[in-house]
Amino acid sequence: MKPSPRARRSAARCVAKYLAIGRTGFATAVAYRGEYLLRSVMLLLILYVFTVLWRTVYAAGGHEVVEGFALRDMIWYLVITESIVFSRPRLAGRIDTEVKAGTLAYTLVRPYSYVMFHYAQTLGEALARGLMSFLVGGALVTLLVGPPAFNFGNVGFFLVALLLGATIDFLLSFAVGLLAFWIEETSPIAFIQDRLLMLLGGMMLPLEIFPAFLRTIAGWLPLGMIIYAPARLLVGANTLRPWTVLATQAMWLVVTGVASTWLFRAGVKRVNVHGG
Amino acid sequence: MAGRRRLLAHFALLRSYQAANLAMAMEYRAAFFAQVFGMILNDSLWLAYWTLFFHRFPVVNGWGRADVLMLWAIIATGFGLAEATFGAWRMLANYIAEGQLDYYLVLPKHPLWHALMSRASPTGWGDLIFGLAVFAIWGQPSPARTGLFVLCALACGLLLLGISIACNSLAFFVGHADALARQVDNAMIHFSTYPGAIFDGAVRVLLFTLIPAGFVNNLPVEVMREGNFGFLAGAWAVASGWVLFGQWIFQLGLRRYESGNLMGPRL
Repeated sequence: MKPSPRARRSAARCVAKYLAIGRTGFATAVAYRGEYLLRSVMLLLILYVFTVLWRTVYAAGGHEVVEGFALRDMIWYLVITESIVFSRPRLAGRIDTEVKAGTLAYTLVRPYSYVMFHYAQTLGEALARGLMSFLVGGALVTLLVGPPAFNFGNVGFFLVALLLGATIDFLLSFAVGLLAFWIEETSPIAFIQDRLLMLLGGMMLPLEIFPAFLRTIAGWLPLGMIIYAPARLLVGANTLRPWTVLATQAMWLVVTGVASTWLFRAGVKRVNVHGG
Repeated sequence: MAGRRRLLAHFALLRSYQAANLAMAMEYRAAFFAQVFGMILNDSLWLAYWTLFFHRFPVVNGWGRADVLMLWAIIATGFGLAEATFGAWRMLANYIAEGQLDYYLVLPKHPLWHALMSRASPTGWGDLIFGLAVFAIWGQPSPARTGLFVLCALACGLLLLGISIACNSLAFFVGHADALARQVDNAMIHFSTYPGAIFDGAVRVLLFTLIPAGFVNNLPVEVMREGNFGFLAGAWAVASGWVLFGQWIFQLGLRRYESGNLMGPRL
Protein backbone atom coordinates (compact mmCIF):
# COMPACT_ATOMS: atom_id res chain seq x y z
CA MET A 1 0.00 0.00 0.00
CA LYS A 2 1.37 3.40 -1.00
CA PRO A 3 1.47 6.15 1.64
CA SER A 4 -0.92 9.00 1.01
CA PRO A 5 0.46 12.34 -0.25
CA ARG A 6 -0.46 13.86 3.10
CA ALA A 7 1.54 11.25 5.02
CA ARG A 8 4.47 11.75 2.66
CA ARG A 9 4.39 15.52 3.19
CA SER A 10 4.26 15.04 6.94
CA ALA A 11 7.24 12.65 6.85
CA ALA A 12 9.21 15.08 4.67
CA ARG A 13 8.49 17.94 7.09
CA CYS A 14 9.63 15.77 9.98
CA VAL A 15 12.91 14.85 8.26
CA ALA A 16 13.50 18.50 7.28
CA LYS A 17 12.97 19.56 10.90
CA TYR A 18 15.65 17.22 12.25
CA LEU A 19 18.00 17.99 9.35
CA ALA A 20 17.72 21.65 10.34
CA ILE A 21 18.60 20.76 13.94
CA GLY A 22 21.54 18.67 12.69
CA ARG A 23 22.73 21.63 10.62
CA THR A 24 22.59 23.80 13.74
CA GLY A 25 24.78 21.30 15.60
CA PHE A 26 27.21 21.28 12.67
CA ALA A 27 27.28 25.09 12.48
CA THR A 28 27.86 25.40 16.24
CA ALA A 29 30.86 23.08 16.08
CA VAL A 30 32.26 24.90 13.04
CA ALA A 31 31.73 28.30 14.68
CA TYR A 32 34.18 27.33 17.42
CA ARG A 33 36.72 25.86 15.01
CA GLY A 34 39.55 28.12 16.25
CA GLU A 35 39.21 26.81 19.77
CA TYR A 36 38.79 23.29 18.45
CA LEU A 37 41.90 23.52 16.28
CA LEU A 38 43.90 24.71 19.31
CA ARG A 39 42.71 21.64 21.18
CA SER A 40 43.61 19.47 18.20
CA VAL A 41 47.27 20.10 19.05
CA MET A 42 46.71 17.21 21.46
CA LEU A 43 45.47 15.04 18.60
CA LEU A 44 48.61 15.87 16.61
CA LEU A 45 50.79 14.99 19.59
CA ILE A 46 49.01 11.67 20.07
CA LEU A 47 49.29 10.76 16.39
CA TYR A 48 52.94 11.80 16.22
CA VAL A 49 53.93 9.72 19.26
CA PHE A 50 51.89 6.73 18.04
CA THR A 51 53.65 6.98 14.66
CA VAL A 52 57.06 7.00 16.32
CA LEU A 53 56.07 4.07 18.55
CA TRP A 54 54.73 1.91 15.73
CA ARG A 55 57.62 2.79 13.43
CA THR A 56 59.95 1.49 16.14
CA VAL A 57 57.89 -1.69 16.56
CA TYR A 58 57.89 -2.45 12.83
CA ALA A 59 61.60 -1.65 12.44
CA ALA A 60 62.76 -3.48 15.58
CA GLY A 61 60.78 -6.64 14.79
CA GLY A 62 61.60 -6.55 11.07
CA HIS A 63 57.85 -6.65 10.35
CA GLU A 64 56.43 -5.60 7.00
CA VAL A 65 52.90 -6.43 8.07
CA VAL A 66 51.41 -7.01 11.52
CA GLU A 67 48.02 -8.75 11.65
CA GLY A 68 47.12 -7.46 8.18
CA PHE A 69 48.39 -3.93 8.87
CA ALA A 70 51.37 -2.40 7.12
CA LEU A 71 52.84 0.52 9.10
CA ARG A 72 50.91 3.02 6.99
CA ASP A 73 47.64 1.15 7.58
CA MET A 74 48.23 1.04 11.31
CA ILE A 75 48.73 4.81 11.50
CA TRP A 76 45.73 5.59 9.28
CA TYR A 77 43.65 3.20 11.38
CA LEU A 78 44.60 5.36 14.39
CA VAL A 79 43.70 8.56 12.49
CA ILE A 80 40.19 7.20 11.95
CA THR A 81 39.71 5.86 15.48
CA GLU A 82 41.07 9.03 17.11
CA SER A 83 38.89 11.18 14.83
CA ILE A 84 35.82 9.19 15.91
CA VAL A 85 36.67 9.63 19.58
CA PHE A 86 37.55 13.34 19.21
CA SER A 87 34.23 13.87 17.42
CA ARG A 88 32.07 12.66 20.32
CA PRO A 89 30.15 15.44 22.12
CA ARG A 90 29.75 15.03 25.89
CA LEU A 91 26.17 13.88 25.49
CA ALA A 92 25.76 12.02 28.80
CA GLY A 93 26.79 15.15 30.73
CA ARG A 94 24.38 17.28 28.71
CA ILE A 95 21.41 14.99 29.40
CA ASP A 96 22.42 14.69 33.05
CA THR A 97 22.37 18.50 33.38
CA GLU A 98 18.99 18.81 31.63
CA VAL A 99 17.45 16.17 33.88
CA LYS A 100 18.83 17.73 37.06
CA ALA A 101 18.07 21.34 36.06
CA GLY A 102 14.60 20.34 34.92
CA THR A 103 14.99 21.93 31.47
CA LEU A 104 14.02 18.56 29.99
CA ALA A 105 10.45 19.35 31.06
CA TYR A 106 10.29 22.41 28.75
CA THR A 107 11.37 20.44 25.70
CA LEU A 108 8.77 17.74 26.25
CA VAL A 109 5.99 20.12 25.23
CA ARG A 110 7.76 21.42 22.14
CA PRO A 111 6.82 20.13 18.69
CA TYR A 112 9.74 17.77 18.35
CA SER A 113 10.93 14.56 19.95
CA TYR A 114 13.41 15.10 22.78
CA VAL A 115 15.40 12.04 21.72
CA MET A 116 15.45 12.95 18.02
CA PHE A 117 16.43 16.53 18.83
CA HIS A 118 19.53 15.34 20.68
CA TYR A 119 20.25 12.69 18.08
CA ALA A 120 20.22 15.22 15.22
CA GLN A 121 22.25 17.77 17.18
CA THR A 122 24.82 15.16 18.28
CA LEU A 123 25.29 13.84 14.75
CA GLY A 124 25.69 17.38 13.39
CA GLU A 125 28.34 18.24 15.95
CA ALA A 126 30.11 14.90 15.57
CA LEU A 127 30.24 15.29 11.80
CA ALA A 128 31.92 18.70 12.02
CA ARG A 129 34.39 17.68 14.70
CA GLY A 130 35.15 14.34 13.08
CA LEU A 131 35.85 15.99 9.72
CA MET A 132 38.12 18.61 11.29
CA SER A 133 40.01 15.95 13.27
CA PHE A 134 40.37 13.74 10.22
CA LEU A 135 41.68 16.63 8.10
CA VAL A 136 44.14 17.85 10.74
CA GLY A 137 45.32 14.36 11.74
CA GLY A 138 45.35 13.15 8.14
CA ALA A 139 47.55 16.06 7.03
CA LEU A 140 50.15 15.25 9.69
CA VAL A 141 50.10 11.52 9.01
CA THR A 142 50.37 12.03 5.25
CA LEU A 143 53.60 13.90 5.93
CA LEU A 144 54.86 11.16 8.26
CA VAL A 145 53.87 7.91 6.49
CA GLY A 146 52.29 8.93 3.21
CA PRO A 147 48.70 8.94 1.91
CA PRO A 148 46.27 6.21 2.97
CA ALA A 149 45.78 2.93 1.14
CA PHE A 150 42.08 2.59 2.02
CA ASN A 151 39.88 -0.25 0.82
CA PHE A 152 37.93 2.14 -1.40
CA GLY A 153 35.48 -0.60 -2.39
CA ASN A 154 34.22 -0.50 1.21
CA VAL A 155 33.71 3.27 1.47
CA GLY A 156 29.92 2.94 1.24
CA PHE A 157 29.85 0.25 3.95
CA PHE A 158 32.25 2.34 6.05
CA LEU A 159 29.95 5.37 5.96
CA VAL A 160 26.89 3.30 6.89
CA ALA A 161 28.85 1.53 9.68
CA LEU A 162 30.08 4.91 10.93
CA LEU A 163 26.49 6.20 11.13
CA LEU A 164 25.23 3.05 12.84
CA GLY A 165 28.19 3.12 15.26
CA ALA A 166 27.52 6.77 16.08
CA THR A 167 23.87 5.88 16.70
CA ILE A 168 24.78 3.05 19.08
CA ASP A 169 27.16 5.42 20.87
CA PHE A 170 24.40 8.05 21.06
CA LEU A 171 21.95 5.55 22.57
CA LEU A 172 24.49 4.33 25.13
CA SER A 173 25.47 7.88 26.18
CA PHE A 174 21.82 8.96 26.22
CA ALA A 175 20.98 6.04 28.53
CA VAL A 176 23.87 6.93 30.85
CA GLY A 177 22.68 10.56 31.01
CA LEU A 178 19.11 9.43 31.75
CA LEU A 179 20.34 7.57 34.82
CA ALA A 180 20.34 11.04 36.45
CA PHE A 181 16.62 10.40 37.07
CA TRP A 182 17.62 7.78 39.64
CA ILE A 183 21.17 8.50 40.77
CA GLU A 184 22.81 11.73 41.94
CA GLU A 185 25.99 11.62 39.86
CA THR A 186 26.29 9.99 36.43
CA SER A 187 29.70 11.37 35.50
CA PRO A 188 31.66 8.38 36.94
CA ILE A 189 29.57 6.02 34.77
CA ALA A 190 30.13 8.21 31.70
CA PHE A 191 33.83 8.26 32.52
CA ILE A 192 33.99 4.46 32.75
CA GLN A 193 32.04 4.22 29.47
CA ASP A 194 34.56 6.54 27.76
CA ARG A 195 37.56 4.63 29.03
CA LEU A 196 36.14 1.23 28.08
CA LEU A 197 35.33 2.61 24.66
CA MET A 198 38.91 3.76 24.21
CA LEU A 199 40.40 0.39 25.15
CA LEU A 200 37.88 -2.29 24.19
CA GLY A 201 36.45 -0.20 21.36
CA GLY A 202 39.81 -0.40 19.60
CA MET A 203 40.75 3.26 19.68
CA MET A 204 44.30 2.67 20.86
CA LEU A 205 44.96 -0.76 19.36
CA PRO A 206 43.19 -2.78 16.65
CA LEU A 207 41.49 -5.76 18.27
CA GLU A 208 43.79 -8.11 16.28
CA ILE A 209 46.60 -7.15 18.66
CA PHE A 210 44.57 -8.36 21.68
CA PRO A 211 44.96 -11.91 23.07
CA ALA A 212 42.46 -14.26 21.39
CA PHE A 213 39.92 -14.48 24.26
CA LEU A 214 39.79 -10.72 24.76
CA ARG A 215 39.54 -10.15 21.04
CA THR A 216 36.51 -12.41 20.82
CA ILE A 217 34.79 -10.65 23.72
CA ALA A 218 35.63 -7.14 22.48
CA GLY A 219 34.59 -8.05 18.94
CA TRP A 220 31.02 -8.76 20.06
CA LEU A 221 30.61 -5.83 22.43
CA PRO A 222 28.82 -2.70 21.18
CA LEU A 223 32.01 -0.73 21.93
CA GLY A 224 33.90 -2.42 19.12
CA MET A 225 31.01 -1.68 16.76
CA ILE A 226 31.39 2.07 17.40
CA ILE A 227 35.09 2.50 16.60
CA TYR A 228 36.92 -0.65 15.56
CA ALA A 229 34.43 -2.10 13.07
CA PRO A 230 33.97 1.03 10.88
CA ALA A 231 37.71 1.74 10.86
CA ARG A 232 38.55 -1.86 10.05
CA LEU A 233 36.24 -1.85 7.03
CA LEU A 234 38.36 0.87 5.51
CA VAL A 235 41.91 0.00 6.59
CA GLY A 236 44.19 -3.04 6.47
CA ALA A 237 44.13 -6.41 4.75
CA ASN A 238 41.65 -9.18 5.64
CA THR A 239 38.96 -6.64 6.43
CA LEU A 240 35.81 -7.60 8.27
CA ARG A 241 32.83 -8.90 6.31
CA PRO A 242 30.73 -5.76 5.72
CA TRP A 243 27.34 -7.47 6.02
CA THR A 244 28.39 -9.19 9.27
CA VAL A 245 29.42 -5.82 10.69
CA LEU A 246 26.15 -4.18 9.66
CA ALA A 247 24.10 -7.09 11.03
CA THR A 248 25.95 -7.00 14.37
CA GLN A 249 25.49 -3.23 14.54
CA ALA A 250 21.78 -3.62 13.78
CA MET A 251 21.47 -6.11 16.63
CA TRP A 252 23.14 -3.70 19.08
CA LEU A 253 21.05 -0.87 17.73
CA VAL A 254 17.91 -2.76 18.70
CA VAL A 255 19.28 -3.67 22.15
CA THR A 256 20.51 -0.16 23.02
CA GLY A 257 17.42 1.41 21.42
CA VAL A 258 15.03 -0.69 23.52
CA ALA A 259 17.05 -0.04 26.69
CA SER A 260 17.24 3.73 26.25
CA THR A 261 13.57 4.00 25.20
CA TRP A 262 12.55 2.10 28.32
CA LEU A 263 14.79 4.32 30.49
CA PHE A 264 13.42 7.48 28.85
CA ARG A 265 9.77 6.46 29.36
CA ALA A 266 10.42 5.42 32.95
CA GLY A 267 12.34 8.66 33.59
CA VAL A 268 9.74 10.97 32.07
CA LYS A 269 7.13 9.52 34.45
CA ARG A 270 9.21 10.97 37.28
CA VAL A 271 9.14 14.50 35.88
CA ASN A 272 7.07 16.88 38.00
CA VAL A 273 6.08 20.11 36.28
CA HIS A 274 5.04 23.00 38.46
CA GLY A 275 3.53 26.20 37.19
CA GLY A 276 5.41 29.44 37.27
CA MET B 1 69.63 29.87 59.39
CA ALA B 2 66.90 32.35 58.44
CA GLY B 3 66.45 30.56 55.14
CA ARG B 4 65.97 27.23 56.92
CA ARG B 5 63.42 28.77 59.28
CA ARG B 6 61.53 30.22 56.33
CA LEU B 7 61.51 26.86 54.59
CA LEU B 8 60.21 25.13 57.72
CA ALA B 9 57.50 27.78 58.08
CA HIS B 10 56.38 27.07 54.50
CA PHE B 11 56.25 23.33 55.24
CA ALA B 12 54.14 24.04 58.33
CA LEU B 13 51.78 26.12 56.21
CA LEU B 14 51.62 23.33 53.63
CA ARG B 15 50.68 20.86 56.39
CA SER B 16 47.91 23.19 57.60
CA TYR B 17 46.58 23.65 54.07
CA GLN B 18 46.63 19.90 53.50
CA ALA B 19 44.62 19.33 56.67
CA ALA B 20 42.13 22.09 55.73
CA ASN B 21 41.80 20.86 52.12
CA LEU B 22 41.27 17.28 53.27
CA ALA B 23 38.60 18.37 55.76
CA MET B 24 36.88 20.31 52.98
CA ALA B 25 37.06 17.31 50.63
CA MET B 26 35.50 15.09 53.30
CA GLU B 27 32.44 17.35 53.35
CA TYR B 28 31.81 16.16 49.77
CA ARG B 29 33.31 12.73 50.21
CA ALA B 30 31.30 11.02 47.47
CA ALA B 31 32.57 13.52 44.89
CA PHE B 32 36.10 13.27 46.32
CA PHE B 33 36.24 9.49 46.14
CA ALA B 34 34.61 9.51 42.69
CA GLN B 35 37.42 11.74 41.41
CA VAL B 36 40.13 9.66 43.10
CA PHE B 37 38.65 6.44 41.74
CA GLY B 38 38.17 8.01 38.30
CA MET B 39 41.83 8.92 38.07
CA ILE B 40 42.93 5.45 39.19
CA LEU B 41 40.69 4.04 36.48
CA ASN B 42 42.09 6.45 33.90
CA ASP B 43 45.66 5.44 34.72
CA SER B 44 44.66 1.77 34.75
CA LEU B 45 43.50 2.15 31.15
CA TRP B 46 47.09 2.90 30.18
CA LEU B 47 48.31 0.01 32.27
CA ALA B 48 45.94 -2.24 30.32
CA TYR B 49 47.07 -0.69 27.02
CA TRP B 50 50.75 -1.37 27.70
CA THR B 51 50.01 -4.85 29.02
CA LEU B 52 48.23 -5.71 25.76
CA PHE B 53 50.95 -4.02 23.73
CA PHE B 54 53.82 -5.89 25.35
CA HIS B 55 51.87 -9.15 25.27
CA ARG B 56 52.12 -8.90 21.47
CA PHE B 57 55.54 -7.17 21.22
CA PRO B 58 57.54 -8.21 24.32
CA VAL B 59 60.56 -5.93 23.72
CA VAL B 60 60.66 -2.55 21.96
CA ASN B 61 64.13 -1.02 21.61
CA GLY B 62 65.24 -2.64 24.86
CA TRP B 63 62.10 -1.67 26.77
CA GLY B 64 59.86 -4.33 28.27
CA ARG B 65 56.57 -4.22 30.11
CA ALA B 66 58.31 -3.87 33.49
CA ASP B 67 60.10 -0.69 32.32
CA VAL B 68 56.89 0.96 31.11
CA LEU B 69 55.10 0.02 34.33
CA MET B 70 57.97 1.62 36.24
CA LEU B 71 57.68 4.72 34.05
CA TRP B 72 53.98 4.97 34.89
CA ALA B 73 54.69 4.40 38.59
CA ILE B 74 57.25 7.24 38.54
CA ILE B 75 55.22 9.76 36.56
CA ALA B 76 51.91 9.03 38.34
CA THR B 77 53.59 9.40 41.75
CA GLY B 78 55.48 12.55 40.75
CA PHE B 79 52.51 14.19 39.04
CA GLY B 80 50.16 13.07 41.82
CA LEU B 81 52.41 14.57 44.50
CA ALA B 82 52.53 17.89 42.64
CA GLU B 83 48.73 17.88 42.20
CA ALA B 84 47.98 16.86 45.76
CA THR B 85 50.35 19.39 47.37
CA PHE B 86 50.49 22.33 44.94
CA GLY B 87 47.06 21.84 43.40
CA ALA B 88 46.84 25.34 41.89
CA TRP B 89 49.96 24.87 39.73
CA ARG B 90 48.02 24.56 36.49
CA MET B 91 45.69 27.48 37.30
CA LEU B 92 48.40 30.01 38.06
CA ALA B 93 47.98 31.78 34.71
CA ASN B 94 44.29 32.37 35.50
CA TYR B 95 45.11 33.72 38.97
CA ILE B 96 47.53 36.18 37.39
CA ALA B 97 45.33 37.22 34.45
CA GLU B 98 42.27 37.70 36.66
CA GLY B 99 44.13 39.61 39.37
CA GLN B 100 43.56 37.00 42.05
CA LEU B 101 47.03 37.18 43.60
CA ASP B 102 46.15 40.12 45.90
CA TYR B 103 45.29 37.89 48.82
CA TYR B 104 48.71 36.20 48.80
CA LEU B 105 50.69 39.42 48.34
CA VAL B 106 49.74 40.90 51.69
CA LEU B 107 50.65 37.76 53.67
CA PRO B 108 54.15 36.94 54.94
CA LYS B 109 54.67 33.70 52.96
CA HIS B 110 56.08 33.59 49.42
CA PRO B 111 53.10 34.47 47.16
CA LEU B 112 53.97 31.86 44.52
CA TRP B 113 54.21 28.89 46.86
CA HIS B 114 51.37 30.13 49.02
CA ALA B 115 49.08 30.40 45.99
CA LEU B 116 50.11 26.98 44.70
CA MET B 117 49.55 25.15 47.99
CA SER B 118 46.19 26.81 48.66
CA ARG B 119 44.44 24.14 46.62
CA ALA B 120 44.72 20.35 46.53
CA SER B 121 43.39 18.36 43.62
CA PRO B 122 41.54 15.12 44.50
CA THR B 123 42.66 13.59 41.19
CA GLY B 124 46.24 14.01 42.40
CA TRP B 125 45.51 11.55 45.19
CA GLY B 126 44.26 9.09 42.57
CA ASP B 127 47.51 9.40 40.61
CA LEU B 128 49.56 9.10 43.78
CA ILE B 129 47.74 5.96 44.96
CA PHE B 130 48.02 4.45 41.47
CA GLY B 131 51.76 5.18 41.18
CA LEU B 132 52.59 3.80 44.61
CA ALA B 133 50.44 0.70 44.03
CA VAL B 134 52.11 -0.05 40.68
CA PHE B 135 55.55 0.27 42.29
CA ALA B 136 54.52 -1.89 45.26
CA ILE B 137 53.08 -4.63 43.02
CA TRP B 138 55.44 -4.69 40.02
CA GLY B 139 58.45 -2.60 41.06
CA GLN B 140 60.20 -5.30 43.15
CA PRO B 141 60.51 -2.89 46.06
CA SER B 142 63.58 -3.22 48.27
CA PRO B 143 64.96 -0.45 50.51
CA ALA B 144 67.48 0.60 47.83
CA ARG B 145 64.96 0.47 44.95
CA THR B 146 62.37 2.29 47.01
CA GLY B 147 64.88 5.06 47.69
CA LEU B 148 65.71 5.34 43.98
CA PHE B 149 62.02 5.29 43.07
CA VAL B 150 61.25 8.14 45.49
CA LEU B 151 64.14 10.20 44.09
CA CYS B 152 62.95 9.55 40.51
CA ALA B 153 59.33 10.44 41.33
CA LEU B 154 60.36 13.64 43.15
CA ALA B 155 62.58 14.70 40.24
CA CYS B 156 59.69 14.07 37.84
CA GLY B 157 57.21 16.02 40.00
CA LEU B 158 59.62 18.94 40.40
CA LEU B 159 60.35 19.08 36.68
CA LEU B 160 56.65 19.15 35.75
CA LEU B 161 56.01 21.76 38.45
CA GLY B 162 58.93 23.97 37.38
CA ILE B 163 57.95 23.99 33.70
CA SER B 164 54.34 24.68 34.54
CA ILE B 165 55.25 27.61 36.85
CA ALA B 166 57.48 29.12 34.16
CA CYS B 167 54.83 28.81 31.42
CA ASN B 168 51.93 29.96 33.60
CA SER B 169 53.98 32.95 34.80
CA LEU B 170 54.10 34.19 31.21
CA ALA B 171 50.59 35.47 31.98
CA PHE B 172 52.29 38.46 33.65
CA PHE B 173 53.65 39.44 30.24
CA VAL B 174 51.10 38.25 27.68
CA GLY B 175 47.81 38.19 29.58
CA HIS B 176 45.97 34.91 29.04
CA ALA B 177 48.79 32.36 28.88
CA ASP B 178 46.65 29.49 30.18
CA ALA B 179 46.11 27.92 26.74
CA LEU B 180 49.85 27.99 25.98
CA ALA B 181 50.72 26.64 29.44
CA ARG B 182 48.15 23.86 29.07
CA GLN B 183 49.59 22.83 25.70
CA VAL B 184 53.15 22.75 27.06
CA ASP B 185 51.97 20.76 30.11
CA ASN B 186 50.13 18.31 27.86
CA ALA B 187 53.14 17.91 25.57
CA MET B 188 55.45 17.39 28.53
CA ILE B 189 53.17 14.79 30.13
CA HIS B 190 52.41 13.04 26.86
CA PHE B 191 56.05 12.65 25.81
CA SER B 192 56.98 11.63 29.36
CA THR B 193 54.66 8.63 29.36
CA TYR B 194 56.20 6.82 26.37
CA PRO B 195 59.45 4.83 26.38
CA GLY B 196 62.40 7.19 25.95
CA ALA B 197 64.09 4.74 23.56
CA ILE B 198 61.54 5.24 20.76
CA PHE B 199 62.59 8.85 20.17
CA ASP B 200 65.71 9.65 18.20
CA GLY B 201 67.29 12.39 16.07
CA ALA B 202 65.99 15.93 16.38
CA VAL B 203 63.06 14.89 18.58
CA ARG B 204 65.44 13.33 21.09
CA VAL B 205 67.39 16.60 21.20
CA LEU B 206 64.11 18.46 21.71
CA LEU B 207 63.19 16.12 24.56
CA PHE B 208 66.40 16.94 26.40
CA THR B 209 66.14 20.70 25.84
CA LEU B 210 62.95 22.60 25.05
CA ILE B 211 60.46 19.96 26.30
CA PRO B 212 62.69 18.07 28.74
CA ALA B 213 60.50 14.96 28.93
CA GLY B 214 63.61 12.90 28.13
CA PHE B 215 64.70 13.37 31.75
CA VAL B 216 61.51 11.57 32.82
CA ASN B 217 60.93 8.92 30.16
CA ASN B 218 64.47 7.56 30.46
CA LEU B 219 64.43 7.25 34.27
CA PRO B 220 63.16 3.62 34.42
CA VAL B 221 65.92 2.21 32.24
CA GLU B 222 68.77 4.58 33.10
CA VAL B 223 68.22 4.76 36.86
CA MET B 224 65.94 1.94 38.04
CA ARG B 225 67.42 -0.74 35.76
CA GLU B 226 70.99 0.38 35.01
CA GLY B 227 71.65 2.30 38.23
CA ASN B 228 73.00 5.31 36.35
CA PHE B 229 73.32 7.83 39.19
CA GLY B 230 74.79 10.43 36.83
CA PHE B 231 71.48 10.47 34.92
CA LEU B 232 69.53 10.80 38.18
CA ALA B 233 71.76 13.69 39.25
CA GLY B 234 71.20 15.29 35.83
CA ALA B 235 67.44 14.90 36.15
CA TRP B 236 67.53 16.52 39.60
CA ALA B 237 69.73 19.36 38.33
CA VAL B 238 67.38 20.06 35.40
CA ALA B 239 64.27 19.78 37.59
CA SER B 240 65.71 22.12 40.25
CA GLY B 241 66.87 24.49 37.50
CA TRP B 242 63.33 24.66 36.05
CA VAL B 243 61.81 25.30 39.49
CA LEU B 244 64.29 28.14 40.14
CA PHE B 245 63.76 29.50 36.63
CA GLY B 246 59.98 29.35 37.09
CA GLN B 247 60.24 31.17 40.40
CA TRP B 248 62.51 33.79 38.79
CA ILE B 249 60.03 34.41 35.95
CA PHE B 250 57.25 34.70 38.53
CA GLN B 251 59.27 37.23 40.58
CA LEU B 252 60.11 39.18 37.44
CA GLY B 253 56.51 39.22 36.31
CA LEU B 254 55.20 40.15 39.75
CA ARG B 255 56.58 43.66 39.25
CA ARG B 256 54.14 44.08 36.37
CA TYR B 257 51.19 42.63 38.26
CA GLU B 258 48.07 44.74 38.47
CA SER B 259 45.43 44.04 41.08
CA GLY B 260 42.01 42.98 39.88
CA ASN B 261 40.50 44.87 42.85
CA LEU B 262 38.46 41.76 43.26
CA MET B 263 36.26 41.68 46.36
CA GLY B 264 34.95 38.34 47.53
CA PRO B 265 34.93 35.82 50.34
CA ARG B 266 37.56 33.04 50.54
CA LEU B 267 35.89 29.84 51.65
